[in-house]
Amino acid sequence: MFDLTEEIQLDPKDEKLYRKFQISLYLFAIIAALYLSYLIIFPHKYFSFSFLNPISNQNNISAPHLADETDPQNGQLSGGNTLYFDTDISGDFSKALITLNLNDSSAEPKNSSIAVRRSYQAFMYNLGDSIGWRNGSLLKNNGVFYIVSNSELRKFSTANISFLLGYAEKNFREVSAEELKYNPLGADITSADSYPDDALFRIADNYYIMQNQKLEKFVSDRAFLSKYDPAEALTKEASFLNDHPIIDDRAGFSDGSLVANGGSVFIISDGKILPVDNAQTFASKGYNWNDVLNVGEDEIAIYQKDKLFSIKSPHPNGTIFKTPEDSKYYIVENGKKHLLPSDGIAASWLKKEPIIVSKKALEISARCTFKKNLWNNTNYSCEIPLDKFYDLVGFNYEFNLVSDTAIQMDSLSVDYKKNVDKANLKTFLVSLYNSIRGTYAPITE
Amino acid sequence: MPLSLNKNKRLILYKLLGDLLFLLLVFFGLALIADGLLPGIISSHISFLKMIILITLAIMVFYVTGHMAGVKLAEERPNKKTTIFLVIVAAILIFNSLFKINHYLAFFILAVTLLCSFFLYRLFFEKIS
Repeated sequence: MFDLTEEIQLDPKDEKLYRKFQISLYLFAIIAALYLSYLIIFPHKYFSFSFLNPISNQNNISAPHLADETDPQNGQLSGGNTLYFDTDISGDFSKALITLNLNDSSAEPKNSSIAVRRSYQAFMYNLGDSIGWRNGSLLKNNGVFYIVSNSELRKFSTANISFLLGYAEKNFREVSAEELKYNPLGADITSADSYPDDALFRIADNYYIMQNQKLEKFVSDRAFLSKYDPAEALTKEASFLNDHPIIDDRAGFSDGSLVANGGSVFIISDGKILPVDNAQTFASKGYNWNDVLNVGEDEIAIYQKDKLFSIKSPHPNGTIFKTPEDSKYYIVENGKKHLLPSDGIAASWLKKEPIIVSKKALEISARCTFKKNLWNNTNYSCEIPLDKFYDLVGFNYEFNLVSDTAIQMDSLSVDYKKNVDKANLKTFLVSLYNSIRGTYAPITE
Repeated sequence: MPLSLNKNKRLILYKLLGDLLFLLLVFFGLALIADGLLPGIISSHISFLKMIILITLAIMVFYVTGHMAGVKLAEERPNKKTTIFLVIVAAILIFNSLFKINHYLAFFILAVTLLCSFFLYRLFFEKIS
């Protein structure tokens, strides 16, 4: 029989005992190997949050909050109130087991339930006011010409003034009266002596934007083209620069732009660049590699580097979503999503592919009611099947927990699990195949 | 291998620890190869650091138990076949880790790594005549 230390001879009685233990040890090893294989093929992901230690770095549930965005003090949730929290996880899981660990002094929860929906976190933001045309847009309606300046719609009091400033009729986009309602009206432009803010110029192969009667140079053509079409810029002679001082700051890329430099991909937003932590995050957030602009060091030097953009990060300001069901566009700004009310308005913001998201994701939810666990009096749990979310894009699960009675939680957890079935085995094998291809197949352009 | 042993429980424990160490090393080797071929497939579930600590502890307990049981090990020269096998596995893993770069450069780095390892081995383990 198999013996690694055969030089050490035991008497028959001890030999028998050793063999029993040896067989047990090898059986245990086989079971452990099978269990590890199970964990690899049918993985589970565990998320938790401790209200006793809310700043612990072990907490991987995004900060739970109440409807008014405040934190639940010591895990207290008053009766009828709702607690919101998010988890971000890539891949499809079969079910989520949610567990509440209540404080010993907490009342027993009655009719406590939790609902979940899945999409991109930013797409689940509340809907804010609709947003109009982008600054610098040149518009016309019924022979009246407009420019969008500092978000306001400014009318050229006569067509002649616009022509005197150098604009041609073809520079203006014909829009409907309805589409002009979404920018507040600003003062009319009554003189051809000066240009309004956000007027765009092309001078000696460089692009500029007017800011307070000074010119701000775009850091590159690519930066300009991430916001505007070349036709939107007035071509001027170099002498124009003599009359208008150039400010030191450089105009950069459109918020939400994707740029690559030195092997890293960044998202530009609010004057900062967010390094994307890995390719999986990039793909799981719905971005398209074709939209990544290769830029030079000088083009990103104007930005401050922000924290890593991970799968937990919501899409930043400037991100544009499109819902294919009704072909509507939404832009993310300051914790809200705003409708871009027409295709024309959307086109003024959109110079790359929008992120496709399902509108029905906001309507599909699943709910379960908590039940006391048998082995622990303060633990309540329930399980939500997640199969109805399989076809939806976005990997952010937003939970909302309600209880008829006031409760005090010590912690809460969500355990995502995969059922042991053919479909999940196939998913694993496909991901294994893709992983092998990604690692060893030659890269084709 | 000449051994004078007492037939007691320590010897059983020693033999079992030998089996445990063997299993841990087999598991570690397979995990290393799997993770080398497909990065993250094992390490995303089990930390390699924890595995190394566990194996180190197993070696220490194995050594101490053997000492307490009075096991004396004869000095043994490294097995040539095992050495060649380990060198080949190491070479495959090193080359695999360099797979994304130019293959000629990868072969060059591999050759330099193996040469360095060989000379380090000679420096530390060869007897001076």
